[in-house]
Amino acid sequence: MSHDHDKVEEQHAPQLYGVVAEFLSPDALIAAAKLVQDSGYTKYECYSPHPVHGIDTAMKTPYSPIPWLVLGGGLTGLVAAIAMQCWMNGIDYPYLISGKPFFSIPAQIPVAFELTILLAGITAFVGMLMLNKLFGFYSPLDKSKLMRRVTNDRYALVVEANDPLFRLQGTSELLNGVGARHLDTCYEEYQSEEPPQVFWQIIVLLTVLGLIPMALVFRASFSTSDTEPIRIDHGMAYQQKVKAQQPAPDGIFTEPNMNRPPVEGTLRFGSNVEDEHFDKGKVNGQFVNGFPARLKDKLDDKMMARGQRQFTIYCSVCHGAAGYGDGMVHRVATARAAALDASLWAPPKSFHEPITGSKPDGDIFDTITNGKGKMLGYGYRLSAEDRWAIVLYVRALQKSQLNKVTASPTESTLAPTASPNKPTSDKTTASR
Amino acid sequence: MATLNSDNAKSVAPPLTLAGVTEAVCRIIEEPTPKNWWPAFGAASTGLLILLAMVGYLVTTGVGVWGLNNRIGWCWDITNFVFWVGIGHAGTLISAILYLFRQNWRTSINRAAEAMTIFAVICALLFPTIHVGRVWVIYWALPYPNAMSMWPNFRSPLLWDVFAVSTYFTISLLFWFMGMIPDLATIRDRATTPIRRFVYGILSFGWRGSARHWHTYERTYLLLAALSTPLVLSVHSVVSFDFAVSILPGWHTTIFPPYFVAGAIFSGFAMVLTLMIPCRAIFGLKHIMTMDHIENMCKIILATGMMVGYAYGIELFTAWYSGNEGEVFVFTNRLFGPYWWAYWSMVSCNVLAPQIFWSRKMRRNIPVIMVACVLVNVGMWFERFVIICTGLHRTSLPSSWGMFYPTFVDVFTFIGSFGLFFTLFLLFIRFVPMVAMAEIKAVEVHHYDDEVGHGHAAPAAPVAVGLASPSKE
Repeated sequence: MSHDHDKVEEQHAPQLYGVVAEFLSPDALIAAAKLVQDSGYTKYECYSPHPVHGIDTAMKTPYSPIPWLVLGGGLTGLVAAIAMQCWMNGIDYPYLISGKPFFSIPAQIPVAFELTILLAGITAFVGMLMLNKLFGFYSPLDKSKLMRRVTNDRYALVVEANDPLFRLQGTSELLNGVGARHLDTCYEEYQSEEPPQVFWQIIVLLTVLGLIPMALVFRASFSTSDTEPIRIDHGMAYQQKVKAQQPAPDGIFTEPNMNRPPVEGTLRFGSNVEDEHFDKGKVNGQFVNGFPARLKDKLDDKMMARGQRQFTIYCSVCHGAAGYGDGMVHRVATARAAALDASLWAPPKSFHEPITGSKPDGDIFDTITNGKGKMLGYGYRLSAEDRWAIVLYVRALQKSQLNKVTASPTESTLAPTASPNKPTSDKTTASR
Repeated sequence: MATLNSDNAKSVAPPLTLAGVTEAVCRIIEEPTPKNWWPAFGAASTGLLILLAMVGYLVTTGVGVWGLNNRIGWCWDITNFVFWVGIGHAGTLISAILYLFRQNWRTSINRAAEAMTIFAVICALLFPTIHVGRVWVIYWALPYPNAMSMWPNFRSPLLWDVFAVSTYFTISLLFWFMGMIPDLATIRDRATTPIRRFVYGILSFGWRGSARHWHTYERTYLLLAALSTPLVLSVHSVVSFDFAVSILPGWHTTIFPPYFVAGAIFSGFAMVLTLMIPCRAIFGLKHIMTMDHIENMCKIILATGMMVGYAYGIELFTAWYSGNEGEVFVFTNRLFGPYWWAYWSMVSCNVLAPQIFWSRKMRRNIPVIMVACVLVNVGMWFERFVIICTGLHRTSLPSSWGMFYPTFVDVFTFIGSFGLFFTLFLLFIRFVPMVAMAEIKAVEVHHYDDEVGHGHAAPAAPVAVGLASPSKE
């Protein structure tokens, strides 16, 4: 025995790594571990196919720090998640979603919870690998047939040769005494040859080559270029676009232009002019005084009331209830323009100035329909009949203020369809 | 009935031994591929190819190839997503919650159930990914610094979903893989070919079963179980927020999170049984996955089925008790509208079918269990269809009512997802230990070699021959 050992030492390799003792049950392993621990050995290890409960006490294994690592990972995830959400949606790019607060912890809980678990879980897994120093793909123990059965159905205790108390004979007897069924030795095989020189040269070469793309990316981040970037996906921002009035690309439409003709059976908005006077306030292209013939029978109190109502809703806000151009919008806008020391506000027209008063009815109708200057057109909001009703009411307003203006529309203004109106009721409205 | 009798004759079965467990499990991987594996794999991979073709067609053409319309913007895609995520709940529940409750019977099925979870979650992740339309910019959902200076909206349940499902996938994968490390080491040590030894050697990270390693490993496993337990409950809750946080009648309800979780466990257990019953018969694992284990799972299916039934009832009650016209309309429409057949299929499969498990005899009758579990799977698909489709197809504006008609792309994408699932599962069976050997050895094995006659009978055994000369192996 001993001379075999000496012979091994003479050869300088392989060197003894340790003694492997085989056990058949977890209880036997625990008993052996307890004895080896109590005998003062420090460099020994137990191996088993499954976790053996009670062996930690026998071996006096210190408690694993893994829970603290996991706690740290979890807290990192939690804090990072809350900070990330606050910063991204509240500070860097405040997202206003239905008026909800920018910093709302309840809405952040799901993501915060998931990231807490994610980081804690990854920490647990990686921590287990690191604390156990796994990735040790080579061990002298791999040569032992006995050790290969440890992952199947055997229990093993290995005492390493570099333990201060290790004596081949004495340790073996100790292990036999505690009931080892079988003993085996393991030898460390020296693999001391240096890797060939070319190995290092390749490493250096690969490292340098690997840095080139990085250097190019780094350089690109500081340089400018006029050329179009290479796009793999053009996305919606770069899709084909054709404007109206331009020729259509081949194969899209049968017609040459991008403009689509109206669908059959439909009319373009405003294209259905049946009665030029009624729809446009014109006869043969000229604004005319007087109301269209089709309203002849309707120019009565009812229409006047309708006109007053629509005027109050749509016109009085700017032009004022009496038509002096002093509506609420005008007053507020004037005040603001004054505060800003700006003269941007174009005041609404008064109906009681000569230039307004002398316009034909058709012109007023056209202004209501299409707007003028800053005034909006109301053609899409009010029916033609309502617009004529407003014209009627405006005429009544002008008459009601006759004594205050220098030039007034003559009685003949209403002559063509000549329906007497009732200025008394208008006057009360206007003076309000 | 012969199989049934042998299943029930538990007392006659020899006790599990360490080597016996290793042999029973590793044999499946080490033996030549069984002949009936190939047709199964052929069918599954054909399904996978169909899925790839359908997804390719969808991505190159647009989501219009599905039957979605202006009224029903979510239908089979999200139904399939919720269906697969639900199935993916059993694995982690078995691994984590039953582990914390020290239910030792879970060890026989947890590995396969976890694998099933991961594969189901892969199928689930597919559907929301492709239904976004421009799938090549799906990474916009992630908070990464970009040239647009935009961040995702963290107040959207759809974004919570991204975080919840991907976290669930990652943690399940880690949990599964970590549980497998010692078993992969077993296969490495039994390997007869260098390639096998190398591959399983890399995969097992050089695990050698050291007691100090086991110490850290067990603590970590416990921590992962504790982390996964709230996670598994949260995932389907977050999925349910996709609906519950909206203001649609029939969706806007606080019962959804617990109701979805119960349904997920229900469908997941049904799927585990659907898969494991054939597996244990084909691969001779009846002594490891015993009839008692199956019976326990049937009890869980019964319990969660009752919870789901209770949720259906409460939904109807709430709609009536709320006095809200919209709610009442939605549920009347669900029960008696054009999709009545989906609702009543759901109720019969999910509430009525599991009632058979009140009988102990039925809980131990393999054909009955198989039929009931398949029905539960069908019923749970209908449940999601009912929630999503009937929730959308009629709202308060009758002019915009509509119906959903699936196209062939809808149908074949769904069928193809089963192809993906079974392809992965069959590969898992061939290459990875299907049963957690180390865990079985720790909790189910109580007989060791030294108690059966040989061992340290001779107290003064001679010093072994191995000491004489260095091993030259």
